[in-house]
Amino acid sequence: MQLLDKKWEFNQGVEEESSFRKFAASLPCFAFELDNSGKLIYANAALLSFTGHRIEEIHSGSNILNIFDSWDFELLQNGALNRPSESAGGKSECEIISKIGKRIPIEVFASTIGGESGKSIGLRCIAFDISERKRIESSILQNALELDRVFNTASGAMCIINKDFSIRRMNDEFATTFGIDPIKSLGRKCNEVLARICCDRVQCPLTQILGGANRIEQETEAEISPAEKANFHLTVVPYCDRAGTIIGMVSNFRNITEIKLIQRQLQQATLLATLGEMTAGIAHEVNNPLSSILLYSELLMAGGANPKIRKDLKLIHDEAERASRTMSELLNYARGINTSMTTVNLNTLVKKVLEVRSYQQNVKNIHVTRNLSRAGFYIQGDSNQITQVIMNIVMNAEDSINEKKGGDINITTEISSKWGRLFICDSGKGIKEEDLQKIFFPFFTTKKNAQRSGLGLSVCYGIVTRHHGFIKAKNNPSGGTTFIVELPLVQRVSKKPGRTGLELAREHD
Amino acid sequence: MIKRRINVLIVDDEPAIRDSLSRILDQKGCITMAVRGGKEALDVLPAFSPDVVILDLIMPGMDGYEVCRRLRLSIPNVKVVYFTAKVEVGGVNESSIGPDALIEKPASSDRIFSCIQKLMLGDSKSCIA
Repeated sequence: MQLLDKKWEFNQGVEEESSFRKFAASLPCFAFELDNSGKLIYANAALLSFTGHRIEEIHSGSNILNIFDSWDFELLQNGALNRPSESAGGKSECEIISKIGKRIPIEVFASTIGGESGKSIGLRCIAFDISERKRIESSILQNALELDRVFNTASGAMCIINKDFSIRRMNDEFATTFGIDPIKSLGRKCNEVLARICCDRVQCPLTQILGGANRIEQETEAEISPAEKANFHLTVVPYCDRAGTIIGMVSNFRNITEIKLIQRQLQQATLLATLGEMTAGIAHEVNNPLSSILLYSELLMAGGANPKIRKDLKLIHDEAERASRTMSELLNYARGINTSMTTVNLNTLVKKVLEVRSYQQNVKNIHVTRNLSRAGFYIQGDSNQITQVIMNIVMNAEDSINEKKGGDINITTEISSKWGRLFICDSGKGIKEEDLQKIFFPFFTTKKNAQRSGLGLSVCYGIVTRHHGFIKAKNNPSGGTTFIVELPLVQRVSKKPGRTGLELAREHD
Repeated sequence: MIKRRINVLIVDDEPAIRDSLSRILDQKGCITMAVRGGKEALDVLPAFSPDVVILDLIMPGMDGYEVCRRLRLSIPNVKVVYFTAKVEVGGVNESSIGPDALIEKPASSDRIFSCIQKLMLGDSKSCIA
């Protein structure tokens, strides 16, 4: 390239070979000269050999500029003219085409050819085959695109943080999950941007990584909106440069809220099933002796014992009956006794329950509203058992409402194509978060009233499960609790074709 | 019509239930016989012809269902009451060999006796307990 710096003697039209040409003749790269109009006036052997032209074609002055594609002669020329002192005065990338159409990308370096008057009379160029470089560039670009695609379509929320705690990069999922504007946060410190979201200052993963940890796996809770938290599985690995030096960390947050919920439900279902089997076994063992106690105490009472003994016997009898009631509730939980499955409209059952409870609700100053689905909520089920479920939840809702202050109960039903949902929402005192997991367990109760066995909701759970449905409870943000019962709908065959859901609903009102 | 005393056969492997139940039903005017299992129940048939059988379901040896089936072969019009603490029971009166009534243990003597009375009047459905 230094050779280009020197001012070579050159006279247009004179056939003597300049030192450049002598030097260029043996070069393995392309070398050529152009006049100020861009016409090729010299080409070295390497160029001629590639394009397939003969030297005579050039000497004859024929314009063979079309051996270059995407060629910007002016750019090259201006570059050479404006920066004559620089080694590669003009630089341009283009393609060179052979006679048979073969193309290779080249990079052209040009300097001006000074005439006798000191004025430029053309360009002296050297060009290099850059196909290998182009291939590598393209492959790097492709890899970058590929990584970008993978990074941004990954289900995990990923973020790369530099060792100075500044945010280097985050994927779309990260920005969406935590509601962060990527453009505003890049370069800022992670403990500022993520402070209230997912920053663990006590056990900072980056500090651990910089301290030599190879991989961190942990479960963590993070805020995904001001009112909502989610569970994440966090994986953190070091982010290294080519030399293997740690320059930050890559963290991946996988949302496991749903999985954890299903896990908890599964654990609960398994536990309840086991409890069901156990209670059935216990009930059988206890009911036999209870029968004897009942019958013997009745026998003794009928035998004319003195009043004091009679009183004691009555106590024995009544206590045995109380135990028997508990057993019977337990058994209701453990099995579906005498289920008679028919097609029932759950909306009708809701109305019945509300009718039965209306007096108590008035007394307790409870205002009840209902929004029942316009079309019937038809399920295949035992109407007594489903009534028991609704009754139980409604009575619990009543119990949760303070008698003096009064409150509201709202019952909503909605149906989709396959499932119907019953929402029973109260404005009562709510259920402690830690208790929400336990309310469906037998004998779990928060009520001090001795009348409550703690079996009601476990029985409901048993009934709903046997109807292939789901029951769950959650606290309302505004206070109180909502119980949700989901049941599979049955397709009701109408006698007259073409009746609408509304007509069916009216028919059953 | 002369009012006849009701013959009740009690089949239960629990001695306390056999004893208490037979004494109570005796007091209420029934003629009772109590045996501890299915085989004994069938053995006693030639000597004691029951109107009603109070039958436990889970017993060692022959279970209540089998006893019920065999009893009906011997005495087609006998009334059978399943008296059970067992959890799963098939529907009542599902077939001719099923029971006429079902009473869950524990039950008060009044409930058992009123069930027997209703069965004798031919009203079976109302005493499924």
